[in-house]
Amino acid sequence: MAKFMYVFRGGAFVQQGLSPAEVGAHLQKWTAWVGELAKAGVHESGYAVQGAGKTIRGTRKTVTDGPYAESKDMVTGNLVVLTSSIEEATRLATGCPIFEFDGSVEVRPILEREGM
Amino acid sequence: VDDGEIHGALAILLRRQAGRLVSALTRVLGVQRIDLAEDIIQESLLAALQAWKLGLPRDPEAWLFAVARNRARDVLRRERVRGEAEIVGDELETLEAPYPVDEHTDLLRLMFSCCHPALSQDVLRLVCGFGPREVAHTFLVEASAMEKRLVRAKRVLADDGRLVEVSTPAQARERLPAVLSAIYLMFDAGYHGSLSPQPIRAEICGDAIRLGRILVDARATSRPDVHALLALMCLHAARMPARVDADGSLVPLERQDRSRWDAELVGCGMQHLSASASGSVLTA
Repeated sequence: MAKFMYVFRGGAFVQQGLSPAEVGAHLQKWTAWVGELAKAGVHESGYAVQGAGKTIRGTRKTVTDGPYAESKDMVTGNLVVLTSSIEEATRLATGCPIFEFDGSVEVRPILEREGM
Repeated sequence: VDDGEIHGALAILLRRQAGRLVSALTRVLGVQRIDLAEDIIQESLLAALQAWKLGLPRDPEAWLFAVARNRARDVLRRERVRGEAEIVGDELETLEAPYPVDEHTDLLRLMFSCCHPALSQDVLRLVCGFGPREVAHTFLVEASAMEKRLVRAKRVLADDGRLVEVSTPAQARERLPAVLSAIYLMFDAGYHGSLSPQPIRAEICGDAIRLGRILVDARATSRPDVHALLALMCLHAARMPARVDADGSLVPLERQDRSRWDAELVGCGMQHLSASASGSVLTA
């Protein structure tokens, strides 16, 4: 078994003009999806992040406000899964509701040190 | 409780909370700024979506209210600093009050305010948290036309300057018929599934019944015609489990399996039916 990190970008969170009913219906799909991952025993951990923040960059460690990426490229969260292969992790990620609102999921193998 | 129920409850919770929040926020921000209240709620809902998608908080309602309250407070503070608004201390105090702040009183005020003789459609939008597109479906008009109506509705509300008070029967009398027809329209939208491809949207009917119950329970609006509407809705809703067959198509009354009717709702309906048979006014 190996660990993979899903990196979520964009999605409903960066959309304008959703009604409470639409937000609710979409949220339902997220809890259902995460619930399925948990039930299948592959869910390790996950965090959603707020929009505002700081970015530190370069050798001079310049601090600026916000990521201010294009909203579709804004990182909106991550989730770690434990699966047999990257194919399996990718297959599970296609069930993510983020695609309904044009978001993306990156699937990245986590580098584990020996003996950890 | 299985997963499906939790998920269903979540969507309904957000839709209902939107109505309560509009009501609570307009109390502080003023009804002239219902747009601002809606913006704040929209932001809070998106924040909820983001924060809850990987796991629910222990008390979602309180969470949502706290976020909306903080945002409203920020807006008021900023305006006070700029000297744009005179904020009196107790308005901020209202925001400090624990939630729920007498949910039903606030909802009643919002319902009756939206049922201005000209604009009953706003009930669906503000009290029940539908988007303009969904309201438009219900009233069989184009979404763009509905947007215009909603803008006009808000202007009328703003001209009134405040939400109407609904604490005595006399205050309720004038607008009650409009409120009742708005609730029935809403029930009908769920019953005939005009909002979605599904033939029936039970939760919308449930919301309409909930609003009817609030009216029946409130001293100012507990009247025979309100009982009559509630009886009608309960009795219709009781048959819903038998109205759709396994393929999702509608089953006519004479072929429905009566054992699947909701006995509790039938009972409720009969109770309200007999409560409606008092007084001297006949309703259609």
